[in-house]
Order: sequence, then structure tokens, then C-alpha cells
Amino acid sequence: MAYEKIMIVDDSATSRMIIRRCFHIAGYEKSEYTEAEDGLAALHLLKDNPVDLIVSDLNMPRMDGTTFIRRLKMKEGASRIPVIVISSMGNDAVREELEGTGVLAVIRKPLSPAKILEALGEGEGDGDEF
Amino acid sequence: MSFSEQDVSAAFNDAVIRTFAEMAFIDVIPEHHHEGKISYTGIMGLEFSHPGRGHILFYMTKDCKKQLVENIYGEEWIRLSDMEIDDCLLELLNVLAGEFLKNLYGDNDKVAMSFPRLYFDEDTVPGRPGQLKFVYNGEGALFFARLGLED
Repeated sequence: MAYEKIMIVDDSATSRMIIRRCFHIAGYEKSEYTEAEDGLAALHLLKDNPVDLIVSDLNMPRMDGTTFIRRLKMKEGASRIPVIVISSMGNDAVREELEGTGVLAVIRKPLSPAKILEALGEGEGDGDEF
Repeated sequence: MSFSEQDVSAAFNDAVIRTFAEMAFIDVIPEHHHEGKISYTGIMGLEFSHPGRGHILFYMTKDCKKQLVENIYGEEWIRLSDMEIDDCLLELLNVLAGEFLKNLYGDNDKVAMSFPRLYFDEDTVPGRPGQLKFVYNGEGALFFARLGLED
């Protein structure tokens, strides 16, 4: 599936750079990327900038990833946007907690292009899908 | 939950080796018998409170940090801002801590960690710095870490 507009939500600029680079290598070099430092900033940006895919960290200031995803899923027009969680805290417990929220996959950092492809159902990797 | 020193060391060493290799393409070897003093500039630290409680502190020279940051960014040190450099090192610690907690406690408990931060002075680091000290050789650059586990 083509994701033309991808939003990356992570408080670390380095992490956002790594995510963008991995998406490029995974074949999404022509996609348009929007970045937000936390869930609150992401919700504000989404009002005027609709996207096709959201990639979110969990541990962020102001609004963490879990709260952001739950708020997103309550918003009309945004609730159907697929979300991938990429976090150093991503594990089975997080997968269980986010089950039913429509999250595509939970990936533990460090990230690789193979993990992204696996999460998107486009290749083999280490990402764990629901 | 209590662990042997051997279990904790294995979990920590694996996290360091794997994270440095996967994020910065640097081969790291534990220096089990190093006794001498290792210089450092600044301390990177992070605390965790679940599944276990403790903290991780990293002590590195500027050369070691430079190698890490340049490899991760694919950019020369002088072209990067102080903010980018600090953020890069702290993100490495964040990922490493996640790997360590996964190695030690498994995948079934939710993890709670603080945001990683920089300390400029040993007096300001959390708690008593480290019950365990780990020395590493990252492609010629020596650095060390302290790990405190309260449980």
C-alpha cells in the first residue's frame, strides 16, 4: 500500500531522522513527511495536515504515545489512520494494551528498514504485528 | 525479582553490544579486567522504575561520542549542533536501556523509564552511582557504564 503522507511523532530529533531514513530505504523515499515532538503537537498538526500513516513513539513529554493514539482514535476523520508504534519500550505488554486501537504493529527500537516492511506487511523482518 | 550478577552482566553487555552495532555500526567488546582510570566528559543517565527499579549511567570521552554521533547521523561532528549531538547520545541510551530491560525482565511487563538526561558532575547523578561497573572497548575507544539495580 502506498503511504504518500507519513507523520512521525517522537520527541527525539535523532529518532525522527532514523525513522525517516529507514522509511526511505524501505521504499518510501517519495513520501511527504510531517514531524511532531509529542502527541499534543501531532494532534494540532493533524487538524490541517491529513496523513496516510502515523509512526509514533511512546515515551514523550506533554502527551505520551498511548494517550495520543487513544485520542486519535476518538477523532472523527483521523480514527482510521493506521498507526505504527516504534519505541524502546515496545513489547508484548504494550501490544496487549494497544490491542483494539487499530495499531498496525509495535516495533522495538533500534529500527531497521526490514522491521518497517514487516510491519507494513511488505516483507520479512522483526516487527510484531497484531 | 532477583538476578545473579552474571545474569545482569550478560543482559547489560548484550544490550550495549547490540545497540552500538545496530545504531552506530560500532563493534564493542567488554573489557572485563580493565583496572585503570578512564577519562570522560559529561555523564549520560537514565532511571527506570518498572519492571525493576534502577539507573544506568554512561561515561565517555569526546572522541568516543564523536564516533558514535558521526556514525548515526552520517554527518561530520562540526556540522552538527550541540542539541543534535546531545539528543543523539541520549537516544542511544534510551534504546540501550530498553534492550537491557527486555533482556533482563522479558517482554511481558510494561516498561517505565525516565527521559534520558545529561549530568555534568558526578555529585548530581541519581542515587549511589552503580553497584556494577562495566568497561568497554568500542573500536579502540574505552568507555564505561555504571548500573544500579535496587531490587
